[in-house]
Amino acid sequence: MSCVIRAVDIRKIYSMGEVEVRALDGVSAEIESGELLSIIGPSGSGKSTLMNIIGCLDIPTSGHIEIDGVRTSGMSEKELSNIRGKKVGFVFQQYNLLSYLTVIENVALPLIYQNVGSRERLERAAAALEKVGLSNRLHHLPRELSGGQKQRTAIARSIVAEPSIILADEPTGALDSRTGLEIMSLFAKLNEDGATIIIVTHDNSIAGMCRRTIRIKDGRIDE
Amino acid sequence: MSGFYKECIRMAIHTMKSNKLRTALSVLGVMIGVAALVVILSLGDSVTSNMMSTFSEGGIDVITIMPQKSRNSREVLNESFTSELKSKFQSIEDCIVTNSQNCSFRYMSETLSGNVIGTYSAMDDFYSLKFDSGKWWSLEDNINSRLVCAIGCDVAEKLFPGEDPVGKQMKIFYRNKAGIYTITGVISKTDSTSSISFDGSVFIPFNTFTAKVRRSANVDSYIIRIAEGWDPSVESGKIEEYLSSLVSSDGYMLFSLSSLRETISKGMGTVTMFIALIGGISLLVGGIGIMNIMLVSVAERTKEIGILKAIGAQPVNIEIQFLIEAVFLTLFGGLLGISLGIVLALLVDYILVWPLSVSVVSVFAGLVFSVLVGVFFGVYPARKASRLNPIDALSRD
Ligand SMILES: Nc1ncnc2c1ncn2[C@@H]1O[C@H](COP(=O)(O)OP(=O)(O)OP(=O)(O)O)[C@@H](O)[C@H]1O
Ligand SMILES: [Mg+2]
Repeated sequence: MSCVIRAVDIRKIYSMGEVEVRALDGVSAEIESGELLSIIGPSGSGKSTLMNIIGCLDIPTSGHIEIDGVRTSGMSEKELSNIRGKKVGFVFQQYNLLSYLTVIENVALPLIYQNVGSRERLERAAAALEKVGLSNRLHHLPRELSGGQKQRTAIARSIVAEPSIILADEPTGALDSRTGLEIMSLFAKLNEDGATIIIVTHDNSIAGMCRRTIRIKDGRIDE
Repeated sequence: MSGFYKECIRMAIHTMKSNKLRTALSVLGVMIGVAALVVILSLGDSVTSNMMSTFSEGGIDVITIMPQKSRNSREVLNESFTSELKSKFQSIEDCIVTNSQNCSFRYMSETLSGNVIGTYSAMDDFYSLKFDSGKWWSLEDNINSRLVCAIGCDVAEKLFPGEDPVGKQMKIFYRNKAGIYTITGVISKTDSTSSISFDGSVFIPFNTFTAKVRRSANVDSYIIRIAEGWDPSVESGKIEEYLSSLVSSDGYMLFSLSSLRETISKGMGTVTMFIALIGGISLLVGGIGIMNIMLVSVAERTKEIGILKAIGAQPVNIEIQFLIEAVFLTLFGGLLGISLGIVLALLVDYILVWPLSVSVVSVFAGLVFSVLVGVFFGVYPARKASRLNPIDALSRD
């Protein structure tokens, strides 16, 4: 299998006056296409930081990322936003839906930046919502949804542009355990359909549902 | 790309709607500025067209000098001064004199009082007078001091109701004497927009006037016509300069429609400048207000910007989105301003009894200006939004 993500000696250092915070301190990893991977570690260990760097939302202090064999270091904001739009889909703990857009509009939104025509946008958004089992809530506003439904909407939004990688940062963190399990089985299903999925969690049972787990502690991979 | 713009417009309208009071307050400055712009341009148009219609009636090339009682004016400003002026200034096509006196006229049993004006036969050319019947008396009538007259239409109507006065004789009483004058013509009604009216006057030859009505070498007024190809207002300045070298400044008064027009347009210019200043300041302040509100909006929606960046929005997308919002704000203010401006302009037209008109250019200019203000003052906040670091933006609550 091919390597979709390669992280090489990633460091992220926040210097706040005298104090230096080493959020990531030399992390290297290779992630194969089609993996269902969890990143687990205690709070403050650097999981989110790593995730954001992998997804090109953040830039490492040193080291570099390759996505589909392409190095992202030195890329312009425009190129980075292209990668975020086309190759990566984000799912956040707090859903991050736009409150004034309906479910289907939220899901269709990423396609606007890919110059997809309005009819195709809606078709693809509807298809994505079908996949996450939310076809019956297309025209609801986020505030009219349960937490699980919001997260399904966010997942639909992350897959609508058909990215090769889905990055989920504690996607079940705000949900009860039953809903959390539903979301996890949704990820498992998407993974079976071929998506590479990385899930950040500090919940061992969630990590247990993934085929591989990377443990992080104090900004380093804990073997 | 069209889907993106459509979405931007939707978002812009959404933000405007969800903060109605803020939107209303923030567009106030732009509204006032654009309203001022529309008023200026509309009234400027109205003034010009009204002035043009008044002055195009003729008389724009005419300068009037009225000698006043002063030390030396009587000696210099007599009838022969006309030829002196004509020889001095090439630009003078012709110069006539008029003397006038309030008299009463009688025909049969009807009596009427009015102005008797003694002048040259060239008078009718000066004011391009038209005749209901008959014509002006001739040059010889003046040379021979004949008792002839041309009468205004009001005089004709009152003394000769239902009759043609031409060839008839009427009596003119001056002080304790009287003369019997033969009527040569009836002058048509002066246009209502014209600045001078002769409807109630009676014209007699100048020599007849000095011989019969008032025995004196004094002249009440000189009427000068500037030849085509010369600027009447420039020439009137030169003539005034020449006059002031001969006579003390209280010895004469000089009028010309061209300098009057200049005075009016200067006055209008001052008013226009003033409104333009208010408009300009309002637009500036309004623009700064828009910038401020956009900066607030960017700060409030940092998280949203982060989300958009996370799902693939490029910096240029964010910039355009916020620019569109700024332009929508100013356009909204501009539309309100245009409406207000049109109402004000029509109101002024109405009060001044001018024909109601709104210049299309002003509406267009109002739109263009509001868009320009939006772009100009929206660029900085929009650029600021587009440059937000996605991870910082996302981690905001
Ligand atoms: N913008 C920042 N400025 C300074 N320090 C930061 C910043 N972001 C993160 N850190 C620090 O980096 C470290 C790693 O943070 P990170 O958010 O990656 O942890 P995490 O593993 O995701 O924790 P959690 O499970 O609580 O989400 C923490 O010690 C945090 O304080
Ligand atoms: Mg985290």
